[in-house]
Amino acid sequence: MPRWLIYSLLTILLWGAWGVQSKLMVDRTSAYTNQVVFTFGLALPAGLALVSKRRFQARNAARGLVYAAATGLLGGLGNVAFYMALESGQASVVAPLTALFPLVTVLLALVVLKERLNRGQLAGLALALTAIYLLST
Amino acid sequence: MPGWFLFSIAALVFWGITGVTQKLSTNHISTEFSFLGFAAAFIPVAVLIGTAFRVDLNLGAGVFLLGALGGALNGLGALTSFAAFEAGGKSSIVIPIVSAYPLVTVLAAHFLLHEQITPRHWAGIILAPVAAWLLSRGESGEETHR
Repeated sequence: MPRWLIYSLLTILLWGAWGVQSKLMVDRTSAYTNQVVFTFGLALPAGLALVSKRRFQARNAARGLVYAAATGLLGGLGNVAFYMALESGQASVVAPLTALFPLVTVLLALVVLKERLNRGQLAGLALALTAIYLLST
Repeated sequence: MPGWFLFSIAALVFWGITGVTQKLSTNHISTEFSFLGFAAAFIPVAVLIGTAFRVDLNLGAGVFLLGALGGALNGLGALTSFAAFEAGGKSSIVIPIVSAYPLVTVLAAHFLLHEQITPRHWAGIILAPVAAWLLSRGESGEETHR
C-alpha cells in the first residue's frame, strides 16, 4: 500500500474518531472545559512538528505566524461551537454538517483572494446547501 | 431552528475562515511552522475561556485523558493529511478520501453510541462529503485543510 494512502486513511480515522470522542466528552463535561483540555492534547502533534527539519522554515515568518495564529484562534472558537452543537445534537448529524466548512472557505476565497469558482465547486456549493437543508431538522 | 444547528453553522463558519487563513499562512511558512503557530494560539483561547467561563479541570484522570485525546486526534489528523500530499498523493485522490472522515464519525455514532439516523439525515450525510470534496477542489488542485 503506498504511503500517501496510509496517511490518507489515517487522517479519516483520526478526524472521524475525534467526532465520536467529542460527543463522549460533552456528555461528561462542558464545551468550555472540553476546549481547555483539548489544548493539552495538542502538545503531542506539536511535539512531532517540532522534530521536523522544516519546523522553522519561512519566507516571511512574521506574516505567516500572524495568519497561523488567526487560524488557531478561529479554530478554537469553531471547536467550542462544535462542542456546543454536540451537547444537544447527534454526532452523526453534527459531524457531516460542520464538515461542510469548505463552503465558507470557497466563498471567502472568492471575495478575499479573488479566486474564481470552477464548475466542480459550483456543483459542490449546490450539494452543500442541499445537505445543510437535509441535516437542518 | 434547533440550537445545535445554529452552533454547527457557527463552527462551519469559523472553520471555513481558517481555510483561508491557513492557506495565507502556508504561503509564507512551512506547514510544520504553521501548525506550531496554530497550536500555540490555542493557549490564549484556553486562558480566555478559563477566565470568562466556568471551567472544571477536576475531571478525574480518565476523562481528562479522553479530552486531551481530542487535541491529539485532531492535530495528528492535520499532520497526516499534510504527510499524504508530501508522500506523493495526488490531490484528486487524497481529497475525496480525506473528505469522507465524517462517515467514520457517523458509523461509530450509529453503532457505538446507538444514535438513530432518519432517511432524510442519511441523504444529507452522504451528500455532505461529496459536497466538501467538490468544494475543496481548487483550480490548481489545492486542498482546504482543517
